[in-house]
Amino acid sequence: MTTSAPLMGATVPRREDERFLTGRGAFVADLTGPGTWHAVFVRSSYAAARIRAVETAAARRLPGVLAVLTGEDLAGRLGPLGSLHKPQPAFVEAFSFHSAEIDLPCLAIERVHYVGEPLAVVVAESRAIAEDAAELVDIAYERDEPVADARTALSATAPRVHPELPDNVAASLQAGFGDVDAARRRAAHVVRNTFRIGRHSGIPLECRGVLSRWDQARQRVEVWTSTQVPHFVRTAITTATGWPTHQVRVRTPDVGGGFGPKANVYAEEVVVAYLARLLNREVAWIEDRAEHFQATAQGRDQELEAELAVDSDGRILSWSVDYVVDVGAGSLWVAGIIANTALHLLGAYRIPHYRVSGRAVYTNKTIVAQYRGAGRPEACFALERSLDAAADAAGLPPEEIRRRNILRAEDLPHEVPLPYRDGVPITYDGADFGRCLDACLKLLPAETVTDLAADYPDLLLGHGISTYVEATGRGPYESGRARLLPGGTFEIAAGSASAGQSHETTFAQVAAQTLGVPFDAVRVRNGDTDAVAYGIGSFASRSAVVGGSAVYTACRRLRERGRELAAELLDVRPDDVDAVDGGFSSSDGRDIGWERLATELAPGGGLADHQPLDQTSTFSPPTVTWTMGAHAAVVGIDPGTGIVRVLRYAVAHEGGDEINPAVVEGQVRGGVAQGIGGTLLEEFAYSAEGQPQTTTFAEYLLPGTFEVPPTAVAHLHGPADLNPLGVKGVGESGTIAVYSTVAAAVEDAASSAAGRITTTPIRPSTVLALLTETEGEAS
Amino acid sequence: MNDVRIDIEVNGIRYERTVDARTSLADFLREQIGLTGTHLGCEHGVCGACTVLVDGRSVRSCLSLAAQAGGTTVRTVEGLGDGDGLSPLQQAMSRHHGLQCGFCTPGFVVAATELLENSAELDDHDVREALSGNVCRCTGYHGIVAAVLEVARERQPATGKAAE
Amino acid sequence: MKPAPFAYVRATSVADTLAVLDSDPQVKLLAGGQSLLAVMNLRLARPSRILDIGQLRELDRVFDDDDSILIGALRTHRRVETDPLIRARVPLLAEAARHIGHVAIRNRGTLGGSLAHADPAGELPAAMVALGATLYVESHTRARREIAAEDFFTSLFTTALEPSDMLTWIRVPASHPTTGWGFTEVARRHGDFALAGAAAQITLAADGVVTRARAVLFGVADRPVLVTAVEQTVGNRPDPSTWRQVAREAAAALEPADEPEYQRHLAVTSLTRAFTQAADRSRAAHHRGTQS
Repeated sequence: MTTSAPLMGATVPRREDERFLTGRGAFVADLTGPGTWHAVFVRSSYAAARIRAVETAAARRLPGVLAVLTGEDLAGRLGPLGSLHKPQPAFVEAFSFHSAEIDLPCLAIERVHYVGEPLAVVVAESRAIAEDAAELVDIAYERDEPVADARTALSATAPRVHPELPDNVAASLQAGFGDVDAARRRAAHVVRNTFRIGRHSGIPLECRGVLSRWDQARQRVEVWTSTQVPHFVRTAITTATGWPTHQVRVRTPDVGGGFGPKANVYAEEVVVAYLARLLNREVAWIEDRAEHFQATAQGRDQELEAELAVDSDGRILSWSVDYVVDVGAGSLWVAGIIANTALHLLGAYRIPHYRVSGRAVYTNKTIVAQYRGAGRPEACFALERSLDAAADAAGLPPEEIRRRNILRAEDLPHEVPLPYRDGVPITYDGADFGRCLDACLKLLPAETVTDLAADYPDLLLGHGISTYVEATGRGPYESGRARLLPGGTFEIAAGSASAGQSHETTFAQVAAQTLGVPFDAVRVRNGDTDAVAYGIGSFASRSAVVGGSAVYTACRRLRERGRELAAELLDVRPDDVDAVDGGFSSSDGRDIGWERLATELAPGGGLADHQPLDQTSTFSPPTVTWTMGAHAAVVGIDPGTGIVRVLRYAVAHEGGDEINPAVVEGQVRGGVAQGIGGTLLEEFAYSAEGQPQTTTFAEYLLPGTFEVPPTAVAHLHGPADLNPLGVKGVGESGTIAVYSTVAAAVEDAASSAAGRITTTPIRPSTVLALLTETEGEAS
Repeated sequence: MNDVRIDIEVNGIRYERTVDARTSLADFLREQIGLTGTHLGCEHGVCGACTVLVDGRSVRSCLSLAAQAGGTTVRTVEGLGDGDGLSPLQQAMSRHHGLQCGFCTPGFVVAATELLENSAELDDHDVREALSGNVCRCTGYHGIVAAVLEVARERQPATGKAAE
Repeated sequence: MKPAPFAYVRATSVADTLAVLDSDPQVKLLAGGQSLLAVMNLRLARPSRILDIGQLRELDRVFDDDDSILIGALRTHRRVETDPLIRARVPLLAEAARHIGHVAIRNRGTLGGSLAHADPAGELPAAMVALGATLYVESHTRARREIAAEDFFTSLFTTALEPSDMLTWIRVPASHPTTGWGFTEVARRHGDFALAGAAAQITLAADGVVTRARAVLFGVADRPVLVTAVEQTVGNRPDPSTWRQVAREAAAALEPADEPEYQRHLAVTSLTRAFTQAADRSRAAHHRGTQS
């Protein structure tokens, strides 16, 4: 066995593709069969109400119905879901961080807090019959006054979403450094604005779903769920049920996209596992799209009041922001969301004086989780839009004000006098952010507008740029496992489960190269709490960094152990054996391949009394590693309608080494597409009563083939010393800066003053009003 | 009762089955004959993941009753390979990284197959037009469009037949 | 998102369909199902009986009469869009069909289904009113009625059809060779339902004087709106500002539900563009005539 060219850094074809292209993927709904019972949840019709009675008799009587359970039935048997993230004490102290505690029952008992909140569950022989029965569950509500807007929710007289709390504040923080007030007094230009990023989310094409059964022989519950975080789901189930950890196994089948909403744990996952054991049946709940719009956690929904002060040369003097995040009826990720904004507001620039305060607020809307970017697009939007406005005020082109403030090679690494969520003081471990801005402008220069004018004679064209930073690869740890199988091949597992990010390919590249074996000798398992006992998951641009490094570490150890065993077989000292491609070689020229080791470890072999070659390692990064990037867009406005099309897009980003360049590009391009959706099309709308107004894809608009432009990507290498692979995260790089970049391009196309577009999604009517205004000023 | 007897050919195999009238073609394919490659992403005809070919034409199988499909010939993603291997389209999709999570992929393969089987020359606009009813949430469509264009370019011009 | 239970019957003939409709007022006709099945999956519609008329080949035909085209109600959008006869004789209709949704929807959705559904943002109802089409309605007990398209659409998703009626054929006047047509719609994304749209047919004389003009706005009211203001251009030689003026007049009379100011603006934009396309095409037709 020999390996050829290095695997890391190579565009290796994806392992996953063949089965997906031929319809042989196995998503959770594909696992259901004739013996599967289907759960359907009865959900609240009102945003705020007390439950007076739940009448289930008619539903129970329907032929084909196995069980109907209400919140009351589960009270005392199922506890609530716990929070998923608590920041470290150093962060809590530096940011005066506070958060409220709420315990929403898995099925609502006395009170409902948002439309779509589950309050009863029906189990029937088919999904259709379960839906029929769910319609027969009769609920008597006594309606309360809802609050569907975060600003209103903050007023002293607002109804409380959770009456047991003193107010609607879910979390708050404040921090800063320097002297903002003094700095502002020296400013030549001060720009103030209120920015708003609408509520939208990942909308994976596969909705959620969970299938569970009671394994009577092994006395444990098996769960398959469409999640990014199988180990968190296991914890949620054991916490809510009180079952010991060894009685719950959680696996991920193929997962049809996650993007953050599936990095959450949900009541449905706990209830279905509970029902499987209670009923001793295989039970599945396959979320449909109508449910998804109400029941799956949403994202963004943030308003920021920002003030940027610059001197007459456009150099930043001070930056202060106060923001409010609407977390709906609650979020298990509230600390992460609110912290991310505060931690990313400084962007890629030198900012000497900074003040930030933020609050997360409860409203009677659907729960919230982290969506790709998770507080960062909001921070980037406020900062980059403010920079555009300041550039206008100072008479500078947008790229010039950025060049004057951006961190360059001589400024990096750059220390920020605040701790990250993990408590470690922030250090931007980058190479040269100015270089990235230049690279992006080279990919898509402002002159592109002129070049494209002939192709789009009916559109007004404009160009915009932005930069972003992102902390990636956060801990606390991830697990990786490598084991030698009979026959000399390898199985790899990691705690960060794939939701479509190509782990079967990239982790296999890491493992094969580390082990010195051919790519084909390595297979990667899907997420499984039996494969690695502990894990965190795939989110926050962390899988390649932390999961990949755990796989690497496990493979290194496995190879080292293999060397020791080879030495024993050859009867030489380990130092006299080298790890070579395909196995080991002694200094006297004898070779032992992995296949031979496997044979010797098997019963009857020379190493049969040894532990099998099976290594699990955890990798704990010292802290996050920062990526940086620049985005540029050319957009076209139809002057008769205000409708915006993004015509060209470019991203230059500074990351670490790439495991698989095509996978990295795919992450960036996919991220851009989602950013374009959030900037121009996607929004969950609610009435003042908290009734969802976006209940189908006729109202919630996803970008299609004509809405996503060709996107050029340039990858620049920076230092990445915090992990053994030398990689940085990339999952959110494509999304974070789209909002501000497209907004800037729209203003440019409309020949409007900078900083006028303050809200996303950018509605065509807003653009048209901007055009009318510009025409008025011109005439 | 609401039972309907249907006789349907799927991927070259004939099936006679009794279905509940409300069973969609998608649920029939997935649950009754085990063809789970046809995915349900919205069940209201917008996302395109459930696209199949009925008598050679692309159809949303979530907006088609199994009962309506009685007497037709259906091809699903499972039937679009090249013998035991991947078709040139499927190979190109992989080569161009036209998929990530893979959930929308069957719908794209089916819609692109219809396009390639029914048109002679294709440009970027034609491909985007034909695939505009399919949503991909992962890739930004970049690799998908590139893959279809490549197949259109490289195939023998004679294999395309003009649109009806 | 599974529909509520229903019984399913497949129709064998138009006569059979009419008899069933007469005997059971609860029965719902299923043609292509591209609108009906979506709302049934959402349980927003829950018919107890479905009569599937999708296999009635007799209504899946097109006839070329001398001055009109007769199209069966079960012709799919895709066939209408790509039919060489319709493209040659009623190009506006083929263009309207092309704007509907996406290929897979057009492969299934039918002309009659779309007209009976009467979505105010629908392309085909608007095209039929603009073209001055006649809709043939049949029932078991009454004689066949001929209803002008502009009288057929009465309100939001509501038509002149009685519960026992069936729309069977649509007669569309063939466009004169020198008639120009325009069809535009404004949608947030490619293939979406229109925020606003317009269809126009304009015939200019060789000297540029308007001899016939007819136009419709859609997506901006509870049904397609016939733009009567355009008749004032007949006998005149319009310039670009004329069209915008007519469009403004037409839009001013609208009372759209959400974002009224913006929707009126879109009405002006789409109508002006449709007029301009139509007039340009009429002029081009004269030009071609002169050359040949």
